[in-house]
This record gives sequence, C-alpha cells and structure tokens, in this order.
Amino acid sequence: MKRSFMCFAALCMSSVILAGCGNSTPKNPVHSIDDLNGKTIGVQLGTTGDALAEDVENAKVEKYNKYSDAVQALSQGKIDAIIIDSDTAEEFVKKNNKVELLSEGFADEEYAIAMKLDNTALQSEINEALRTLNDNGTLRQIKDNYDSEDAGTKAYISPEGTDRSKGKLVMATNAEFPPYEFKKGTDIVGFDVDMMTAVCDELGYELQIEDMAFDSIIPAVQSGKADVGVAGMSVTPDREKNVLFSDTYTTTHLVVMVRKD
Amino acid sequence: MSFTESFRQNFIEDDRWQYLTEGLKTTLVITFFAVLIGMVLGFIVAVIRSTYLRTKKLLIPDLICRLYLTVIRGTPVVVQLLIIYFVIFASVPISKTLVAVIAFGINSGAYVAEIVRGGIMAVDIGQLEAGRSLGLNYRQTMVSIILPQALKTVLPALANEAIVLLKETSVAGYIAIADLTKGGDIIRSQTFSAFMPLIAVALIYLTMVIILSRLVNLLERRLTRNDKR
Amino acid sequence: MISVKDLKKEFHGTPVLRGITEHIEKGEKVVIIGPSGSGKSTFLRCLNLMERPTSGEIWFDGQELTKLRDRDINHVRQRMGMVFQHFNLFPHLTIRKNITLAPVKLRLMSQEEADKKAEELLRRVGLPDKAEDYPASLSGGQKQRIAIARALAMNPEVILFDEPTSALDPEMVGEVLALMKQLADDGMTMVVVTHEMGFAREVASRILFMADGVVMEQNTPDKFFTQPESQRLKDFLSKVL
Repeated sequence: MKRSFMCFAALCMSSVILAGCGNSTPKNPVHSIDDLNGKTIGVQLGTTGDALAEDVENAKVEKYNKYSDAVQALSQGKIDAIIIDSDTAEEFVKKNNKVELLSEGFADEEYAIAMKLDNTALQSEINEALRTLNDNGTLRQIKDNYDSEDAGTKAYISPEGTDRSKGKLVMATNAEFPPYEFKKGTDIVGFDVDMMTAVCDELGYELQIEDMAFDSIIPAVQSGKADVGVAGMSVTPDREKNVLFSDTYTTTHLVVMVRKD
Repeated sequence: MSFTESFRQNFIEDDRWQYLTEGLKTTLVITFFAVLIGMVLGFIVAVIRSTYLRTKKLLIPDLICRLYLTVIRGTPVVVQLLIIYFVIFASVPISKTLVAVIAFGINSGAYVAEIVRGGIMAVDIGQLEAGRSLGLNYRQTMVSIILPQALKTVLPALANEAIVLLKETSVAGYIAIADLTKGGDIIRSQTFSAFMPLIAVALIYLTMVIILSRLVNLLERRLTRNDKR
Repeated sequence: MISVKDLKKEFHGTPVLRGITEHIEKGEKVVIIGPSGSGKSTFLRCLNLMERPTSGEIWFDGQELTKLRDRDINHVRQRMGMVFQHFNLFPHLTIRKNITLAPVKLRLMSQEEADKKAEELLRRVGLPDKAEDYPASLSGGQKQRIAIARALAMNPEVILFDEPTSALDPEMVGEVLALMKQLADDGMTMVVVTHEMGFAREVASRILFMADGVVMEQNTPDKFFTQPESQRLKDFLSKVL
C-alpha cells in the first residue's frame, strides 16, 4: 500500500517536472483564413473540417479521433489551428480559455440525418416528423435548451404513455461533439439526441444510441448496423453518394480555432 | 458497386493508396526504433533485476526497475502514449513520431526486460561461478559468459516481442499519427466504405507478420543447430 | 599458504560449518572426505570466497580474504583455480576460447600467447585436436579435463577440486584422476573434495575427515585408512571401502 502510493507520487512528480520543463507555448501564427496556408491544422477524422483542411495549400493536416484531443493539442502548441463546426467550437471555447475563434468563417453547412441509400420509407417518415416538430415548436425548444440564454432549463421530456410499437431505431453517433452529442456522466446527451428522441416519440420508435468513431458512422448506416446516423453531420456531395439524407434540421458553418495570444 | 469499382475508388482515385504506403512507412519507422529502444532498455533492466536477484546488490536500481515494470505492464500502451504526448511533453515541441517511438520503446522495454531476465536466470548458476572462479569480475562474467548464452535462448522470444510491437503501434493514430491503421481510417472516412481499406490494412499487417515470423523461424533453426548441451 | 581460523558458515540460520581452523602448505595435496552434508564442499568454496563465510578468517599469501574489496578478491581468485563437479564449461565458446577467455579478458596474455598456452595445455590433458570443438561434442571425462586445462591457463598457485569425478560415468573417472595425479606429481598445491578413496590414498599428502561441519580427524593416507581413531570415521570407512 505504502509502496504503491510512493510509486504514484514518484510518477506524478516526474511528469510535473517534465511537463514544466518546456513552458513556452508558441505564439499564435494564424489571424485569418489565409494564414492557414502552410500551417499545421488539426481536425477530427472524417469531418467536413477534415475535408476542408485537406484543400488548404501546403497545410499539414493532423487527423485526431476526437475534436477534444485536437483542442488540447492546439492549446499545448502542437498544432496551429483547428477547423471545426461553429457550435461545437463555441462549446470548447467556453471550457478552454487558451483558445479563441477567428471572426472570419467558412460557408454555411446543413446538418441532416443520414440513412441507408435505399431506405426512402424511413426518410419520408423522418421528414414528416421533423416538419411536425418544427411546426409545433418542439425543435425550437430543444435548440434553446442548448444554446440560448436560459440553456439547460427546458430539457425535452418524452410525453407519458408514448407509443413504442414500431420497435427500436438505432442511431449511430459520435459523442464528442458538443452541443450536438456529448457525454454527461454515462449518458449521451445533446441536441441531436433530444431531437431524435422527439422524432421517435412522434413515430412510435424506441431510440437506441450507439456511440462510435465519427468516420465509422456512415459505414455503420450503410451496413445496416444503425438505422440512422445523427452526429452534427453536414450534407456533402460525397456523403450523398453513400447515404440518404433527411431534410436539414439546422444550419451552421465551419470556423477556425486558434490559440489566444 | 462492383469490386473493381470499389477498389478503384478506395485506392486509385486521388492516389489514396499513398495513405497506406506512407502509413506503412510510418509504422515501420516507429516499430524499428521502438524495438531498438526497447531492447537497450530491456537489457539494462534485466541485468539490474537479475543482479539483484542473484547477488542482492543494486537494491535501489532494482526498486526503480520494479516500479517501471509494474507501471508499464500495468497500464495499457494507449494510455502511456497519451500521457507521454499530452502530459509529459505537454508543451514541448516534439515530433509525434518521436513521441510514439519513445512511448512504444518504453513499453516494449518492460516486456523485453522480463524475457531477458528469464533468459539470464535460466543460465546455470555454475556458469557464473566458473567465470568468477577464474577471477573475472561480475560485469565481465555477465558480458562474456552469461549474456551471450541468455541471448541465444531468448532471441526467438525477443523477435516475437518485435512482432507484437509492430501490431501494437496501430494505436498511434490516437495522437493523430498517420500510421498504417490510421491510413486505412483516412481512406474509410473519405470513401465511406469499410471493407476495402480495413481488409487492405489487415493484409499488409498480416504479410509483414508472416515475413517476420519466417525470419524468426529461420533464426531459431540456425541457433538450435549443433547446440545440444 | 592458506590459513583458516575458526571458519563458520550458516545458510539461513542453519550452521553448515561450525568452526574450522586449518593450515595448508604450498605443495600440499589435501584431500577432504566425509559423508554428504558434512560441509566439505562449503568449506572448499569458502577458500576462494565462492561462499561468504559467516565468521572467521581466511588468509591467503598474507592477505585476509574476508576483509578484501571485491576487486582484490578477483585478483586472488586468479591465483586459485577451481574445478567443479559439473565442469561448467562455457557452452557457447569453443574449447580454445573456453581456455583463453579469462587470461585474455584479464589482460594477462595476448590472444596469441593464450592460444599458444591453450595448445600446450590441450596436449598436456591429452586432447590436442579438440581446440575448435564445442563442449557439447565432448564426453564427460573430456569436459572435466578441459575444465582443468581452463583452470591451469591462469597459472594458479593452488587448484580447488569440488568433487571432480562425481558427475562422471564410471569408465571416465580414471582419465580425470590420472590427470590430477599428474598435476600432483608436477608439484601443484591441491585441495580436493572427493569420494575416490583410491585417489586419496595414492595422491594425498594429508586427508581431512569432515563431519557435522567440523574437521573431525586428519592424518597421512596410510594411517588414515589403517588407524582411524574416531568411531564416526570407522563407520564411514566401513561403508565406503
């Protein structure tokens, strides 16, 4: 017991000493989108940010498994910038005071729900439900719960006695993407989760969430491991060749995250 | 989509095969240097450990070695990799490949140490006594009598450790290193097909492992030839 | 040449040597016999500090060994050869390398000098054509003769033999004893732990009988066998002769 404590203490000490020995985080070299040329850009593998970064001239793209790892690397000076969805970026900026966003952003992107290419039946069901939820204000309420002044006060709760007769609807997601989907304790929560719960309530399904790597979501939907992929996923021509998308449920854009000077 | 079409999309289009070749290069570089570090570290630790076990000398170095073995063998290599990247080299500008080499080298060293220690302890104590009785000191006896014999018995196990390490480096992608596995992941993220890139990555690993295992077998056969004690 | 004063040795609290005082002169051939567990091997192994005594003094050529630093003990060991029951040849080295390793490593000879010496020693032990063979290809008797050659390569002033024929098949005992006798005739100081009574009678200048961790009785060979004094020795001799 005593020895294991000593071991732990020694380990902590040595990491602290080592960690402290190079406390010179480099200055932020990126002040506009044009500055990205030739820099090291962090992204999450398979995101639209990844695709966009690949097109930046001479840039070195580091593909992390999670955006949170990229943000960590950015604040430690291992990379120069991150290209990331605006809503998620703001969540990270709130929690990490070493990073900020450039005011200049990229073109709008539309998030939608992905389904198997031939599953037009599910597509029309979901589009129907989205329309209903939009018309009756439920979507607005869910969105407000995540990004308005009074965030967190109006959580979506399934009405009592909701019909679940159609069985399970499996949703593939990547719970590393606040506020759309993230982990709260052991639960996966977020805008996408609440929205899909509401959609299922509307349609009579029981929602089952499968957390996976972002780049695995589309293959999971294609192979039928999941019925839908909902993960703050932007509609792109490449993706449309591989999955069927529902109507757009929200619009965002990519932004550039940099270190604060 | 037909097989050839899918093959074209996954590997030919946009020169995606380069993700695999570049990834393979990275994997091999990391493995090679990690094996080197692991061997050096492992030998040093093994000699210290067996010296303590046989002579009760070097108590403090032995304690440090035991701490190292316990910590490294008691934690997953991914966690060690992340700690070295995000904690130990938190704000040190250092190449990620080097981080991976260090992490996998340190990790492998612990396993090498136990293999080599086993080899040293398996050498008959009479060999040590014979060396010492001739007036050789402990270090001379170790270097010219014990270690060559130990090395011979553990060489196949060491080679296997290198093969294991080759596969273990597949978690390097956690710190955004574009190794072979990550290369496959990148293709998958662009073409949204799981089959082709994953199978290709698997086949490349398998091929390398088979080649290495063959070499180990050859080595083993050469070592056991004319070696009946 | 070697003096031992009140030598005691315990293994984990069990006494093995209970106080031995003995003196060995240059040129003497001391043979130690006794029942197994009597401590005779431990006593022999204490002489070159293969075993660390628990207490007592060991003097070799004016130096007290138990007080020496490790480095000086290595120097003393160069002057005291040792031959083991299980030969302990180095299996990964050729016979020539087995013999030349120590003198070359310790910079007492160049490789050429050592090779020459090895050749001469191999002739002396009757195995001149084995230089480039590996120990694995030798018979037990040949191995032990090589082990003796290896010890001789250091030009030792005394050789300690720890049951040199106990691990041999009976037909090979003779060749090793013959070599040892030849060494004795050449004037080598020898301390031999053995069960070979014939060898003791023929070669020894003095025989020690050890039992229960002490030297119970000692005498010249003829008197040792013909006029044993203690009952223990009489019993022992009646069993082995």
